[in-house]
Amino acid sequence: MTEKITCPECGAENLEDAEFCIVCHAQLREDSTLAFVDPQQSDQDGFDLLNGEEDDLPGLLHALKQEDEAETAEDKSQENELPSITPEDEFGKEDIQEDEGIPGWLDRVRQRATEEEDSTGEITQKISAAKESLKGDKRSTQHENFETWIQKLRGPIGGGFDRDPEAGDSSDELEEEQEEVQEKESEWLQKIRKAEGKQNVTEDQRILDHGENGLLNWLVALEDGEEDRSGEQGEFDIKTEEDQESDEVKIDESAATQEIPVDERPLSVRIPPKLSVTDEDRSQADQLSSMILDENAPRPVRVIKRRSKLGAARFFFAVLLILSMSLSLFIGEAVVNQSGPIQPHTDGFLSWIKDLEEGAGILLIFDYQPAYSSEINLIASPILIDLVSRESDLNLLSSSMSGPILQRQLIGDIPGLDTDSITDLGYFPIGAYGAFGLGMGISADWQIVGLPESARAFPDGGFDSILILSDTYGGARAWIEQLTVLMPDTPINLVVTAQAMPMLVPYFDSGQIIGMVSGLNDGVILETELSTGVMIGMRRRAYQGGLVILAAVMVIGAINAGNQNGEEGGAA
Amino acid sequence: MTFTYELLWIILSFLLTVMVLSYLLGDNIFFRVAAHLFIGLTAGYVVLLIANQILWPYLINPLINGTWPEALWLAIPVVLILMLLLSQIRRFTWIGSLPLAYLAGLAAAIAVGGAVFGTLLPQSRAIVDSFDPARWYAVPNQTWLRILDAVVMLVGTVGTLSFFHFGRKQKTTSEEEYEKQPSIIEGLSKVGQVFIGITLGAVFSGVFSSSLLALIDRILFIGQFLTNLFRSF
Amino acid sequence: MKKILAISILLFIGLTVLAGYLFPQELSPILSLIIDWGILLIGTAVLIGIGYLIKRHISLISQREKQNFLSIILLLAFISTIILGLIFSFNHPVFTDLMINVQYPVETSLLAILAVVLLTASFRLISTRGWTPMSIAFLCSAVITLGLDAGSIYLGSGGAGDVILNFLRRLPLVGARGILLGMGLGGLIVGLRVLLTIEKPYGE
Repeated sequence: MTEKITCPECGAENLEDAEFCIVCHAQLREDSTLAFVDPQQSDQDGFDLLNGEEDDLPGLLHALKQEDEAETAEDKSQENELPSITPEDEFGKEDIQEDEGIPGWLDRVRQRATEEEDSTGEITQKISAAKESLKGDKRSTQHENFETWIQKLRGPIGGGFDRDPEAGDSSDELEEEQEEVQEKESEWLQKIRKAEGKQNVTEDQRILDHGENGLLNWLVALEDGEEDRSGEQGEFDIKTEEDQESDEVKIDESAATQEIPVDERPLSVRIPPKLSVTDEDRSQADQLSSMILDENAPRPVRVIKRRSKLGAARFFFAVLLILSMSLSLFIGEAVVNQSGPIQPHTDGFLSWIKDLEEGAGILLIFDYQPAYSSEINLIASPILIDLVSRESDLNLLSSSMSGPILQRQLIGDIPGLDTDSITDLGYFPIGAYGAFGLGMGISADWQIVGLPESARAFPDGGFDSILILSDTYGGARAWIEQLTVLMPDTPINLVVTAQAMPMLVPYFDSGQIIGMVSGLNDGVILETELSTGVMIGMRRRAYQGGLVILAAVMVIGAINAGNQNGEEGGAA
Repeated sequence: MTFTYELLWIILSFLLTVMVLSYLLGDNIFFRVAAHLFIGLTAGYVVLLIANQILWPYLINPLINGTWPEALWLAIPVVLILMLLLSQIRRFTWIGSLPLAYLAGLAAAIAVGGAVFGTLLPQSRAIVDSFDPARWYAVPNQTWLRILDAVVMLVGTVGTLSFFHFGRKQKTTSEEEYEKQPSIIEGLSKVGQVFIGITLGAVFSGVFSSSLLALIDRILFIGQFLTNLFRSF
Repeated sequence: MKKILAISILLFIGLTVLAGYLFPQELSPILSLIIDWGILLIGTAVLIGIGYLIKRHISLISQREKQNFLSIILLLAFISTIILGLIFSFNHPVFTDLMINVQYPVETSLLAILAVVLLTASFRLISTRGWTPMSIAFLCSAVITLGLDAGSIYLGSGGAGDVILNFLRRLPLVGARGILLGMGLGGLIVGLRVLLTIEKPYGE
């Protein structure tokens, strides 16, 4: 960091080689005869940053930060020119300098102020003006505020401090200065605009574009947040009159006297607020800037190569599977069912059904979707045929939306079943609620007077057994949890799909359910043990073939992955 | 070929099956038409189901045909239903909080009761019971097997639960340690990962089995339809 | 005031239902009433959900979105089903046959597509997930389970073969029990948070 000198007028800190104060434009050096720097001339130095919209302050701030990032590795003391930043630069990169706790981008701002006081001054002017306008008229609508602010910006700028048209300028030089700045005010902003691709934007569009009043409020809010910080003195500090007086003491009286333009406007108006941004504010500004940029950024073309490969693989496996299934189903004779080893839960189910008394009351709960009805029907049909042969009293209850039509589909296929002897207990939307309602309905010892009779009439003595037909372990679990608490003496059996079985075995192991059958293999066992005929037959061969294909594909895929890893490792 | 009532349904089923299975060739308009037809039909069916199986027997029929004390009892659910319907208007969203509080209390209590009495207590008891010496010696030749089974069950269950533990070390000396689990939990979690993988592998094979049976059913249906179609010509 | 009322309703219903697990016979009439009313509310909520679906598709048609003829098909199917159900009644064989002959083939076909998708995904299992303990255990368990279900793995009847097979078949039970306990704990915690009004799913 270069050494700083204090402005004799406002007390703000400026760089050592600065000619004019970046806050109040007072002359800092006695030998300085430079007039107000021509912004256009300074633009020719390659300062491409500040060519955005006049009110594109977040973009400007980020542009300033980008400068800092670009020159991180260089010695700042030797830098005279500001780097040009293109819109393609990644906004949002933060490179906070740890030197004396001052962010690098802020340092950049100060450096630029020594070369182009207009830009920095105008930013500060706008910020202060915006703050003034917002403070003065907080109750008006945002649009009105923004309009007023824009008007004030378009009004006499003159060093940027005077936003109150009533304040007026007493100095002729200042008025000339204001006119020059007003004429050239937009050039640097236009360059920023060019860099960001925003050209030929009308003033109205600028005003209304991207809700910039919100940006304005945000900027002012930044300053409000910074006003609470004490002890930090920078060139953008707001100073009270007392501070001004104390700072005035620091004026080097040995300097040669020269005419210094006097600004007779009130100090509170003249001195712009400190512009220091916290990390959180910076991240918000980054997000806002990236959002604004992203709106105009061209969208990248989505690459779909991977999807076409996946589609081809899926087609290949579909052909493989369907062909093998078709060959198994339509060519050759049906295989006589050979039952495999009987699992403990299947054995428990068989024991239950063989020991079931004649005329027992069975509750059938339909908790599966039509997609699984082919599997469930294959397993449940032998059971229902056996129950019908024992003249069991069947009660039907459904907790799936398709339950009523699935009941009709399953029951309709059972030979010798008298549908009039079946009791339909209706539909419960949610299995857990249904189980709870079932438990409560059966255990009632007293009634509430005047209560409407329930549409469901449960048997007084309950059920001798419950058979749950479910396609998922979640549905079956809900029923098991409630029924084992509310109806602990009623044996529960499950007829589930193969996908639900692994997660329901713990309930059999803990004794909460008596038995469970699932999958085609258990269906074959039931057909064999209950002697209800052969319905599965030809499907079993195709089923076995499909399982073998999957196992082989998984192993081949693992070997292929291992080879790929080996090749990558060898190449490395 | 005689056109019968059943044939209509068979042709409809065949067309829908082919349209949906065409998705294997890629997303196409036939699949989308079948899907939208299915959704529309199912939505209509659900409306009729709710009206026929819930609203009519429990609300409308008792209100119309019941006595006035019964109707008075039903005023409460009627008010709750009206509140729920009214809450769909933006201005009256706040009204829906009462019926939703009813449902939330009901769901929460059933979830708590079911979880505690239906799963946590019985399953924990099953783990404890597996260490019952009477069970070990119930089958003479399988004592050591049952002991091994009990130990594996305990270690595996604790390991699986440890896998879902998201706590962090309490006393840490560095930032790296702050992001780590306690050592014992981490060790058990590795064991749990293996058992979870084993369980999920079994579930995966079950899911494939169910879907394979569905595929077999559809191939069988298409084959039988085409066979009958060619035979009829 | 409405906040207090909502909390009161929630606590009354929740505590009554919880008490029902301990005193089912004493509280069963009240709990039957609570459940019946709850089912009415759930049915209404389902109807509201379907209303949103229909509203969405109507807006797609009115906005003349691309492929809005699919929304027209959906609405036509919806209206036709309602009309048929009103004409033929809900339990009429024609209506139930229509439902089963549309729902069954579509849902079964969708599940059949899943078989192909799972086969495709299983080929890329290790290449996607890598050689982690979980993926290796998953692969081994799936292959062994598939082999056992297909009857391709045979270790001889009686003796050590049976013991090994039974041990292998019981291994998934361990993880399943852990998962069920975890789910039970999770359900317990969420339920308690709602009952203690720490979470308010019904809105403020």
